[in-house]
Amino acid sequence: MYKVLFNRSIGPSPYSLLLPEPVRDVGDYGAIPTTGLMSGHQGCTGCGMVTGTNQVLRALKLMDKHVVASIGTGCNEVITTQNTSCWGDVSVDHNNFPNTGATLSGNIAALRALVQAGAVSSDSVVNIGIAGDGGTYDIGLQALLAWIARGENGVYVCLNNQAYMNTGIQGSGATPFGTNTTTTPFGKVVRGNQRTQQSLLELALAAGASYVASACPLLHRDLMIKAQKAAAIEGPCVLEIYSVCPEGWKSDTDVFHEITGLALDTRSWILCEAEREQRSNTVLFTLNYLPKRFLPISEYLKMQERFAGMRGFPEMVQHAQEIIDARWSFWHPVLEANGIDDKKEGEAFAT
Amino acid sequence: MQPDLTVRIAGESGEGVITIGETLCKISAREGINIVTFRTFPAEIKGGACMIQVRLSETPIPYHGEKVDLLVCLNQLALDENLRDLKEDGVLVCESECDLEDEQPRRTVYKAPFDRIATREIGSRITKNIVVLGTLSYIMGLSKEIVEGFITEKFARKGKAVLDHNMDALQRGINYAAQHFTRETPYQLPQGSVHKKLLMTGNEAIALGATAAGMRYFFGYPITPASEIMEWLAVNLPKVGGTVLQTEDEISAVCSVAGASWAGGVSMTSTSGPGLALMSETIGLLSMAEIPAVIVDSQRGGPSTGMPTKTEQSDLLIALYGSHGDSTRVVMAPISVSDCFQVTATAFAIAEKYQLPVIVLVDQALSARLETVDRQILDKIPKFSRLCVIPREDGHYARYQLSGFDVSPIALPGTAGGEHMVTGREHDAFGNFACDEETHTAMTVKRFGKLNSIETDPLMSEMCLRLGDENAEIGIVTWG
Repeated sequence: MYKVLFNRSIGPSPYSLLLPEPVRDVGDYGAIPTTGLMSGHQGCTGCGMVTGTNQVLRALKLMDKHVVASIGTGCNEVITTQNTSCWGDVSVDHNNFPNTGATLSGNIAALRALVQAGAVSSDSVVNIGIAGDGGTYDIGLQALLAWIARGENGVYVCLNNQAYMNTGIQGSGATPFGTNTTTTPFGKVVRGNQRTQQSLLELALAAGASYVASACPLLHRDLMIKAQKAAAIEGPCVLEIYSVCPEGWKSDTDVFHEITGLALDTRSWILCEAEREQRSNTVLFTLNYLPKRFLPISEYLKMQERFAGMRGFPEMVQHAQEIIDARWSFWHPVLEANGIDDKKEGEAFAT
Repeated sequence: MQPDLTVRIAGESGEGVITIGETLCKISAREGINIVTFRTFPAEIKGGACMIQVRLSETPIPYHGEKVDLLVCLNQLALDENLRDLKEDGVLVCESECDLEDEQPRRTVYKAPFDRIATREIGSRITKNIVVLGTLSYIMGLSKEIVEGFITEKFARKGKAVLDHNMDALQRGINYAAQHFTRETPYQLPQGSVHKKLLMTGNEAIALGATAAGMRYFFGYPITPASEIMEWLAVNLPKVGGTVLQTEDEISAVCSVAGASWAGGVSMTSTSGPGLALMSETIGLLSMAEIPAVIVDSQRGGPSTGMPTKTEQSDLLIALYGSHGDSTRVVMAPISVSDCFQVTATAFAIAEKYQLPVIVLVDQALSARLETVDRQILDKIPKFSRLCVIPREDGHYARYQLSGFDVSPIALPGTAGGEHMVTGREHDAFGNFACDEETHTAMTVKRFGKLNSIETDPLMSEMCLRLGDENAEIGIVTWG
């Protein structure tokens, strides 16, 4: 358990109570050419994961960091291992499906040894782990939580596309309620996924993470600030990135913006961050995005055929709404402090 | 007319290559023709080279053939990679823009602008595969009514406009071939029998065989190329009152099998090599605790992540010896799709009867292979039951009773008087931990004694097949 504090101000913030100085806002760097994930990868058209990885790498390189990445098996590994040149000057260690957290620990231990031997300076390298939602929520959870519990310096990035996409769209621990996947098919006896998706941020905080954040590539400034914070803050940091997947979500390939916008405005994906002051065991929660209009979940279900079955059952849509409302209610203290009423559905307001 | 015909269609994943091949299979299966296919899948998530090879024959055929009679290539890469497998006098059909480097003196080469017909004339690029199907149906002399019937079946529910588009595509494919292809019907479908056949993949046959044998509890974790087993069961097992549970990893899947099976449920899991490696420790537990379980391993290229979409038969040793210590298990390897059905059903009979883990070894090629199957396989499901006992309420039940017979009767958990512990520790007849030499020896002999009984079990009599000349000088022993 930890003490909970809320940040009153809403929106992307380069400040952190764990850092003496704010990280630089990406705009402040000016036109410095950096490379993230480069051409040669085999991501599908409209893949959000590619953009997410790209932005994380760019943000870290803007800090003059050499990136050492441990990547778990998953879409990200499949699309970047046939042409490894797409990683540019990133050193990459592809391990097994369950081991991203464990490999990250190995990388970090090696860095410590290199620093002791005087081969590299500790602040020139950042160790990151990248895995999908299956490799994080399911098979890799033990390794991830154990890595967090060891309290090592590093960044774990979960590219969450809410199912196992590269093996043929099977449900995972991050699959939303009612979703049609090949292992949670929408039929007459069982209607899609009956479980509620887990919350990685809660799991990571409970395990003792210093910094956890959720982001989406649509709001790249917010994402890149968070990646830089995660690299700068001492201790284990977890960044979860919303990754649009036209292949698995059965959506058009050119509606990346629209789907992400709806995810944010229906609060299906809440942009937030939490930083832990270890000595006083206090966690400060910040809400990074406030919808201009509060939309019902039914709007989010429209553009994705993975929800096609569920759309026909009002009680299921209602249940999905209840899940979201329950999660969103956590942020009520922030809304109240700002005089915002989220009961007025669909109504525009000024912040 | 020839008795045996091999057709290969190659292109890019997403172009509908597999649909063309599958349609050909469905038409042929309804005509009673025997089919074996071979498919390759790209390693990419979307796009990438893929192909399907279909061998059609009047008589039952053991495999998908090597050299092809008729090769259809939808792009240059497909042509470059597959031309070497075309017979010297074979027929090549390819996209007009493809370049042929060498002269093809004995081969018949047809070029057709499939892409242009689909995009310009029909106005829908995704109908390209139906244009190809039209061309192919002309070359192979397929009945137009039957092909149209399939198009209707496939597209009618998508609305009239989509259906019309595809009918148009089919007709244009046929017309183009009729106008430009000179050699009249070089190939025709072989003659079939009057009996319609079932058409299924190896993975479907495994899932169906398990369901038919009475398996009602499935636990699994996604892994190529075994995922389709779980996917098929996720759709179909609930219909017969069964449960499919996707666990967080393979260790969990096989341990759930152990739990469900101990509690009396006929259970299984399916995986591929990396998953079997994770399951190794629990296979030892199943053996030690004498819990029936069926584990299907669809092998893929290894080690480690290896080549997930490519076939390789390299898990035999881990299947036989994986896990530490002396642990008993039975390994069975089917050789065809209909064998997948029968072997899986038999695997449950062996596992339940002898209370040990049974591993069914297939590979990616067999898992994904579409093959015609005779309906008679459905009549050959073995009957079996667990050796169960209703204990006396005041009795002292010994789970691992040593009575000269290797299999001790099981009391289901929850029955009064039958309370007991199964354990992965070495144990005496009552399940008490024992680490003395005599008990360990006696119990190991008991567990391995089952293998002797299994060897002579009538259930196993159909698990071996002898082919070829009875008086041959050289014999080859093989598996799978």
